Amino acid sequence: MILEGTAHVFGDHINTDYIIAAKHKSRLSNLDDMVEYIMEDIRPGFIKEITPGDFIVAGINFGCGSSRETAPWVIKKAGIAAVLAKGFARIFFRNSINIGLRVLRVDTAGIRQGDRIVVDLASGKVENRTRGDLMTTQPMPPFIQTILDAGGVKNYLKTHKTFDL
Amino acid sequence: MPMTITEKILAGAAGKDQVHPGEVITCRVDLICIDEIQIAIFIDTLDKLGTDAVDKDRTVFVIDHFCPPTNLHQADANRLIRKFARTHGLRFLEGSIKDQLLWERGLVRPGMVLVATDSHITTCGALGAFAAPFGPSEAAIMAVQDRYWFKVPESIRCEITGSLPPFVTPKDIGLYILGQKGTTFAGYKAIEFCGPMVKNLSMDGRVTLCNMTTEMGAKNGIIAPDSVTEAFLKARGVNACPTIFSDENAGYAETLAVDASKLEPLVAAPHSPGNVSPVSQAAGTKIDQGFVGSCGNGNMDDLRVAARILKGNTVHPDTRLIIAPASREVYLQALSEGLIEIFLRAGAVVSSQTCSVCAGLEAPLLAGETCITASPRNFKGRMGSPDAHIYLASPATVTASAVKGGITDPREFK
Repeated sequence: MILEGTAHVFGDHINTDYIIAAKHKSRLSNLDDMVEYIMEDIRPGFIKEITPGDFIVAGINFGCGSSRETAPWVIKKAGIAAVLAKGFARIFFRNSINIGLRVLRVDTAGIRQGDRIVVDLASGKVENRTRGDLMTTQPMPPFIQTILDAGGVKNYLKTHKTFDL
Repeated sequence: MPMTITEKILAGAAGKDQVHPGEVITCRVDLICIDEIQIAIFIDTLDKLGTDAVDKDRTVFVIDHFCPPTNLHQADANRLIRKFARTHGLRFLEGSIKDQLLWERGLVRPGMVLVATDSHITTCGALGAFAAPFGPSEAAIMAVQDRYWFKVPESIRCEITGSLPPFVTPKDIGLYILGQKGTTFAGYKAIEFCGPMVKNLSMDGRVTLCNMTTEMGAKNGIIAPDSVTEAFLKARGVNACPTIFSDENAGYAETLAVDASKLEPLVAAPHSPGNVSPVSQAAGTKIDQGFVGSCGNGNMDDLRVAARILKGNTVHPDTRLIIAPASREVYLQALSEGLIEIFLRAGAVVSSQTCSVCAGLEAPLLAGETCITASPRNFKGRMGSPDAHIYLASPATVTASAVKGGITDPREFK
């Protein structure tokens, strides 16, 4: 499967409070209501910049902080096809896999805001069409890749009654 | 092959003699704690799985963030979790922060696999359990299935020697490590605290150390059970204290050494727990609000040191100090020791046993305001305005600063 979209570049240590502010997580019960506030404290109006299929591109420790699953959910609902980052915080990484939000570990240093990115999920190749750079994603353990490919853990369990390691 | 305590616990839970870091295993989960923040996704997952057969013995449902609720949405979330627990005859507790309540009530045992929909459940590793945070979708699956998949983490060994000087606290040990090593060094790893200083440390102090491993990026923090653990559990009517410890030649990704005798009060400046410096470097910074409380620093050791500083003093007229005991039990104990009266007479606000100021759920900060807090995180915008500033510090430093109206070294209060 090939993903293509615009890169929206963020820095290091983008925590879950930046992704969706604590005040919204406790104020709103509906994910649809929360989506418009994505990244609001560090990039107000970010929701308007996203075309479905775009990427969030980040540095190290993306998603650090809270275990709240609303963080990857909001990113997925906002239409982001995948998060490309140098590294992910543990709980966010697991939560993303489990809800089917693609999280790809890749050296994002050369990607700039607005670059056109093409991701070949099968080969793990990431092409920066704007700059002509080619990167490769770090492979995931096959079992975890299976969950992601199924679209998340709930879908996985529909076809596999238990965890087939 | 020698194993670390975390590896041993996971091996035992997986029914295996041996596990290695990096290995993916399936193991039993002994206790799952879900809260009102994540209950909606938990219930939605059960709907998608087509079951509501939640294991009564292995789950606990709590209200600890919206306690009490401050708006209609929060009240609604509370109603949802109460109704769910009641309908299914499930264990439900409220009136305390889960990361305090679970260990305080003797529900956490050495060797247990404990998970919660709360990044600070790492706190409970102080009892020698494997305690790690997970999202609500996974928690729901764990609640209805026998076993769940885990990846065995590498371990980091942190040996602490010496003894803490006056008004230097376990919080300062955690801040010291964050300052030295940053917020990602322990990513996906277990951090084990050991050494003579830890052996002599109260359960309250151990809990603070384990709580702070979350901000280091860790999967779990852990302290092997010993006589302190045994005495603690016995006092709560739990007579079984399994012996479990890291083997002599177990493999570690890294070893750290901290000499507690050499430490001083520290602060983590905005906007990262890793932005650590001696309190002297931030001294005098005007403080609008101080907070003593949270899952890591709302226990009796913390309230006692706050009371020592507040006794005979008052909170600065331009500063607000909020103190939130982490549990009902702590609140009652503090009452019996006369601490609550000291807080009130000093001009502090004593709040309910909830996450409170930590996550901006109470007393939000205005643009331009500065808060010094004993809670774990100082991310931008966390306590209200993204243009506010949050410093992390020990309860002693927080209280001293609230009295003076600016960041203050607590040692000035000998």
